[in-house]
Amino acid sequence: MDKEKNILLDIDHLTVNYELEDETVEAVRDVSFKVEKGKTLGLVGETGAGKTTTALAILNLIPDPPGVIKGGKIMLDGENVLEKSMKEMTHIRGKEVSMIFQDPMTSLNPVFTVGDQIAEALMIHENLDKGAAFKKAQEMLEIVGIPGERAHEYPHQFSGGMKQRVVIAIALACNPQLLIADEPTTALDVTIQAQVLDLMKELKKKYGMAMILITHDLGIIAETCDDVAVMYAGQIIERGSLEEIFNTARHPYTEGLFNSLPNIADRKERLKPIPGLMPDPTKLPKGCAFAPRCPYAKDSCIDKMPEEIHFGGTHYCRCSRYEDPGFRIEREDIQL
Amino acid sequence: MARQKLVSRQYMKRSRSGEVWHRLKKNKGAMAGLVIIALLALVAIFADVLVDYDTQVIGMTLKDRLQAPSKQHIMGTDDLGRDIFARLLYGSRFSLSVGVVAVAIAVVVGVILGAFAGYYTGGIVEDIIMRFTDIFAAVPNMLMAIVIVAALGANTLNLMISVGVTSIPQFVRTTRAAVLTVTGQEYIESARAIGESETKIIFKHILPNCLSPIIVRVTLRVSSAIISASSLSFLGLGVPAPAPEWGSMLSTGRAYLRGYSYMTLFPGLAIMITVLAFNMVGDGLRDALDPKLKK
Amino acid sequence: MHRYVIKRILLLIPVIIGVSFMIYFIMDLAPGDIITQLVGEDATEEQIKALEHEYGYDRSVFYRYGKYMLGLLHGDLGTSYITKKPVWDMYISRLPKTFWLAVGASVVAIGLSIPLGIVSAVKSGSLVDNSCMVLALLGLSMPNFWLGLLLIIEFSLNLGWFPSGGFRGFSSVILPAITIGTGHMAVMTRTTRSSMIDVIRQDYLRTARAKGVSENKVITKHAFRNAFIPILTIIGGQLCAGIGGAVITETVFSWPGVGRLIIDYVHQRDVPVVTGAIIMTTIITGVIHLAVDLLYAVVDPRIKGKYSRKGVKRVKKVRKEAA
Repeated sequence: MDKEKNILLDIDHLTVNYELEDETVEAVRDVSFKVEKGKTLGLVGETGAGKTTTALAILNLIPDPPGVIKGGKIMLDGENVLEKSMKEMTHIRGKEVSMIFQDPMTSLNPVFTVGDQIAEALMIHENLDKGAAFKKAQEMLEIVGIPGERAHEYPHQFSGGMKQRVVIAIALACNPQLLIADEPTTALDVTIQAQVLDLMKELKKKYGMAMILITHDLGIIAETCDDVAVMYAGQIIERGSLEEIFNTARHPYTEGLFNSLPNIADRKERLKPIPGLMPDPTKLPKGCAFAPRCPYAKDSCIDKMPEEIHFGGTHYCRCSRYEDPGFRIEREDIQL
Repeated sequence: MARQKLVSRQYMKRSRSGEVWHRLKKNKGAMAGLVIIALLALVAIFADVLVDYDTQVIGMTLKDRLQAPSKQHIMGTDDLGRDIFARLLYGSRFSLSVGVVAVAIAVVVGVILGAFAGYYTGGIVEDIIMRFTDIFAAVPNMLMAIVIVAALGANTLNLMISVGVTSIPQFVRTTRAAVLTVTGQEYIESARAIGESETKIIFKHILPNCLSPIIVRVTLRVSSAIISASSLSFLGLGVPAPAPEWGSMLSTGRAYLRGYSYMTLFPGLAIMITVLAFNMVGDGLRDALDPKLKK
Repeated sequence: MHRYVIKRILLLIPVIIGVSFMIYFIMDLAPGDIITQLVGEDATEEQIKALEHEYGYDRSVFYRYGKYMLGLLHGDLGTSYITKKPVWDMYISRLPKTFWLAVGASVVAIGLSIPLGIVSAVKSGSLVDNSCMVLALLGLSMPNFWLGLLLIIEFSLNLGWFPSGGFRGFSSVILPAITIGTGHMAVMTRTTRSSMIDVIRQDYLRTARAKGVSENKVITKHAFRNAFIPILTIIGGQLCAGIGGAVITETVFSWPGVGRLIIDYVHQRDVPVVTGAIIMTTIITGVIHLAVDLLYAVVDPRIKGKYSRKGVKRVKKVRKEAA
């Protein structure tokens, strides 16, 4: 019961389609997960797995057309975001939930100063006048490690890493309860990645907010997250705590993800990529979407949609093979 | 992402021109425009068969003057008793030929100059061509055309020349911009590397790859050339009377606005439909040649 | 910035020389003898000789052009052959009328086309968008003089709301302004739409939405400001065309503007008037273009820094992209 109170975000059977002229892309299929206050959930998966769509749905920002939310609930602090009016949504966006996007080069408006862009959020949500908002914006810049006087400059005067810091400052300006970070470091240089990531971790701790971190980089997950959800073809195929996923991965796809990482301990070992490609999202198979690439698949996997199979605690995966109690994947348990 | 997949799958197997045609065919406006242009061209070619120039087009029948549209004269008659419909049919010759010839002049001169300016960037060739273009473009098109026709004398050929000459800067600029983009590509580099001659590179490798913007510009320019030509005729600087040029028919109608507005209505409608047809084809071509511009 | 402005103004000089040379020669070489036209048929040989000498027609065209340019250097646009009045005075008396017409047309065009273009872009593919685009296509295809005549028939002759021509205060501006404005509107609606559609896909609008900016503000503030440069180019171009004199519309509405001035004196081969008026047009057009380029920097800060030294190239590139 105590735990229920701590739930900030509860997504329940979310389904999102992109309806194009002559076909439908099933981007998110029946996704459910919870995020606790102050905790970080990592959302892992290949490009096109539906991670970003899921995140945009939380802010009700899925481009429409062609995006259509087909069903499900997104409960934020006990209220369904999907039932909010446009106006109520603008009070949630940036205030309760903020989002950081993948490419900092394009996510700032080139014709406004960075100060104005941070101040805008403050003026909308904190009822500050222009001067006070700008002053607060300068403070925010200092917090993300940029000198306050640079608030008068325009985005093109900043480097990529600096821009991402500005984006973070915008997102955190109004102390949101939930921060969604959509591959926040993918577009940055490796050295800058670490800096930005450290900054985010530090600020998350400081403000005590919850975070959903979208990435395809398992290393970032290991460093940052409390819980992990693995997405494949619009579904969450495995979900658990960081330890559960990293130590006792259950789903063959998760296993594949780990196997395709280079092994630093054994440099001669060859990488083991997952064979094949993600299925065409307009023509998903009836059964398990991973079955065509899965080394363990049986004929029944192709026809039967796998159910959630729980392994105690929060850990579950969607793989029909576990209906056979003796089934195990090959991956040995690794101690972190 | 999914959309990209869609596009590539759909068009993978077609050649480029086939692909463009396929996309153009789907555009109802462009198809309607093509049909209208084809009909107009047929009318223009067979104008002599359809109407008799001496009796129907320029022959006066004063007792029939200024008749409102009726069964006999479906668009009425003008101040000299000539059937407006017959004159309009014949007049298609002027509008189409002036539009097409003027743009042909502009294309030939403009594309060659633009190609050289774009290929020899930074050199004196580019400088001379572009400064000349700047000077030319500094005078509003219509004024330039008026001055040229006035100097050469008002007749059909000079009308074509003046409208053509004033369209040159647009083609120089369009071509130069296109050539600049293409010249940067690596296959031009490789053509140079195997020692092909400069002119061959320009005309064989570069220009064919610059065609899309030029083709679009041509269709759209024909429509504005038709408007310019009929405007000049309207001012009395184009095709001389009694030839049934649509603009000069409108100019005559201007004296009879009160009570005889049909004299103004039909020639204007003819110009508009013709121009509209070229615009629709031009728009369609632009979308078909560059699908990413659309939506 | 100052350096940039000065440089641009200096660059205007060769253009003016080129334009004046071109126009003067074409007009001068035109068939028809201006002297016999001036003196009348029963003039004596001496009268003709004297006049030829006065206007330099006993020497080459280069001499006449040189003399004209020498005057221009002293700020003298020349004197009309026909009216004997200074070309400057003749031009200046016509300019306000042309100016008001150009402004009126721009007001009509901007006022309607920007909202329509934005709505079309936001609701791209919808019924509203399709109808706007069909209307724009019709406006684009409609010859000015025909539209003007139709407006006169309906609103002047039939309804009697506005005068059919001449310059008689505000009410007489309306029909010619609509005539010119319709064509402008068609072009500007299409430009606004396509420019907005390009911007609407940009990531920074998602950022704005994500921080709680209302949809209206996302479009009117964040998107429009970014989409404005091509629109600004079009506005500048149309203003320039207007200042050059809307010859056709001025003819249809018997409007005593610059366009009428030029066409009237072209017919009479009055070289100084035509050359002088076109030189003035070139200068004003050049200044408008410069103003537009400076406005680019106000709209888009990325352009501003580049005006200091290598700015010209960047501006040219932006303008080309816009065109």
